Amino acid sequence: MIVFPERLLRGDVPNRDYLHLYGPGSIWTIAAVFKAFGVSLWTERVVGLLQLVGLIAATTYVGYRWGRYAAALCGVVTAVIIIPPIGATALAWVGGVALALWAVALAARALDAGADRRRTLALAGLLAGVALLFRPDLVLCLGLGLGVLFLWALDGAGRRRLVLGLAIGLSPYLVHLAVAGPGNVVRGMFIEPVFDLRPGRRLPFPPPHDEYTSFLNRAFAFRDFPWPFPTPRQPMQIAVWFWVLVAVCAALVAIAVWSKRSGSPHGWRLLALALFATGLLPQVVQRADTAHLSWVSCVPFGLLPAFLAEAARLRGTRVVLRRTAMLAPLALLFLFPHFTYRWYADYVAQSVGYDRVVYSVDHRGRSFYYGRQDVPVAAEAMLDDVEALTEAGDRVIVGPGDLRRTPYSEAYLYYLLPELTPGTRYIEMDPGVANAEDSGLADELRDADVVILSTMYDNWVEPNTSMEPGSDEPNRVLDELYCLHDRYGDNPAAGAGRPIFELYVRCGQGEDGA
Amino acid sequence: MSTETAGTTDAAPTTEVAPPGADGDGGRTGVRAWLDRHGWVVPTVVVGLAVALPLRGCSGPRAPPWRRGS
Repeated sequence: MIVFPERLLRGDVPNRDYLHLYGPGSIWTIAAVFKAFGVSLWTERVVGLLQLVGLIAATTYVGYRWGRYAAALCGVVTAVIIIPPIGATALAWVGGVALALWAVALAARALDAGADRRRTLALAGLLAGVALLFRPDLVLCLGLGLGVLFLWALDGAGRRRLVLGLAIGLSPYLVHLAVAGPGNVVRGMFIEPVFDLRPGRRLPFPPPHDEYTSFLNRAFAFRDFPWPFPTPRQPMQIAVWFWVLVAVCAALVAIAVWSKRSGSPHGWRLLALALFATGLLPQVVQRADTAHLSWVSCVPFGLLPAFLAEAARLRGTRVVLRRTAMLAPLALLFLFPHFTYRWYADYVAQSVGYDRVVYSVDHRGRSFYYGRQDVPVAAEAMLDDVEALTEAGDRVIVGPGDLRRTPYSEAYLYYLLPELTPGTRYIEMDPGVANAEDSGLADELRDADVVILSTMYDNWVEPNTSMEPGSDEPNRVLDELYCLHDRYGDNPAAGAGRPIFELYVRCGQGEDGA
Repeated sequence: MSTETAGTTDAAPTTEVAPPGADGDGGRTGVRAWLDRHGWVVPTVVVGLAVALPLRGCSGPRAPPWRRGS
C-alpha cells in the first residue's frame, strides 16, 4: 500500500501496469494524500489511522443508539480486535469495511423518525459505492445488509435515493475501466483473485485445532509476551475463535429477528447490521488465519454489545444485569487472548517502551521498519550496491529466492528504491499468478536491469498450492542473462548457507562482486 | 403494513426507545449534567484511549515473522 499509490502518481495504472487484486479506491485515496503531503511511510500510516478510526467510530455510532455504555463497549471491542493485526497500515479492507458499515448504519438511520431520509439514503448509497471501490468483494455483505432494507423496508422514493447514491459512488469505476481497459480490470479484479490466486491462499475449513495452517501464524508464535492466565495452544485458540465468530453471527441474526418480530424501532437496523456482519464470514471460511479472523470479527463482535442491549431491553432486564450481559464480547475475547488482549497489551507496553524491538531499513531518506536486526543490515548494504550499479530509470525486479515459488514478496524494496522503475507488474507476488506459465515474468526479466531475490519466505509452508513450483522460465532467464553480484546476510531458515538477499545484474555489468 | 411517503414502508415510531446518549439517569447537576447533555463525550474519550494506547507500539513492524526471527 506504499508502492502502488506512488506508482500511480508516476503514471502506472493498477490492473493495467501492475497486479492489484482489489478495487482502485484505496490506491486513489492514498495517492491523493501522497500528492498533498509527500510519499512516506508515515503519510500512509496517517491514512491507515483514519481508516481505523472510521471503522471503530462506525461501531461506536451504532452502539450509541443504546446509550453511552453500549457505544463505549462497541468501540473498545472493535479496537481490541482490529488494532493488533492491522495497526495503522492503510489496508483496503479496513477502509472498505469502514465505509460499508457506515453505509448500512446510515441506511438504517434513515428509517428513524425525524431523520432526513432522502439525504441519508443517498449518502448511504454513496458510501456503499465507495466501499466497493475499495473492495469489490464487499458486495456480498453490502448486498445482504442494504438488500434487506431495499427490498422490504424502503418505499420507491427511498430505493431510488439509495440507488442514486450507489451509482454515484460506483461511477469512478467507469474512469478506471476507461484508463486500465476492461480486459485488464476483469482479469485483475476478478479472474486473478477469484480463480488464479485462490488455490494458493486457501486454508483448511474448518481450521484444525492441533496445528498451524498459516505461515504467518506459525511465525507469530515466536513472539513471547507475558500472559498471566492459562490458555490453550494457539492453533486451538484459532479454531475456537472461528467457531465463536460463527456463533456470534448467529446470535446477531437471532436477536435481530426477535427485535423485528417484537416490533422494535431498531428491528430493521439490527437485521441489516446482522446480515452485513454475516456476509463477512466467507472471508474466514476461505482463509481462517488470525488476520482474516480479526478483519471479520471486528464487526460482529463490535456490534454485539448493542445487540445484547436490545435483547436485554426486549426482556425487560434490569440495568445492572443488562450492563453485565453487554460485557459478553469482552469475556469471549479471553478464549483466544494471544490474538486479542495479549497482542493488544504487547503494543500498549511497547508504546511506553517495554520490550520494544524495532529496526529500520533506511535508504535515500526513506525508512521501512523491521523487527529483525540482521535484515536491515543486509538490506542497506544491498541497496547501496544497487544504487552504485544502476542509473535513474533502470528497471528492478524483486522476487523470492526461487522464482518458481512466489508465495509472497518484499515489495517494500521498491519503495526504498524510488529512483528505479519496477520491472514487473508483480510488485506483489502471489502464488498461481506471478509464477503461472503465462504470467510474463520471464519476459519482464529479459527487459530488466537488476534483480533482487529475497529468501525471507523461502521456508513458507501452508496446506495449499502456494509452494508448488510454477514456471521455471524466469529462473532460466536469470541464469542466462544475469550474474550474481553479491549475497547479503545469512538466512538459515531458508536453508544452510542461504543469504537473506542476492543481487543479480546483467552479465558484464559489475557481476561477481562476491 | 403501513404506507408512507418519506422513504420507508415500515414506519418507525415517533419516540425512540433509547435516545442517543441517554442511559436512563436524570436530575443531575454540574459535570454529570453536562456529560448527560453531551452524551458523546464519554464514549469518545474511552474509545479514543483504546485506540491511542497501542498506537506507538504498533507503528513499528506490522507483521509477525520478523519480530524475533525464524
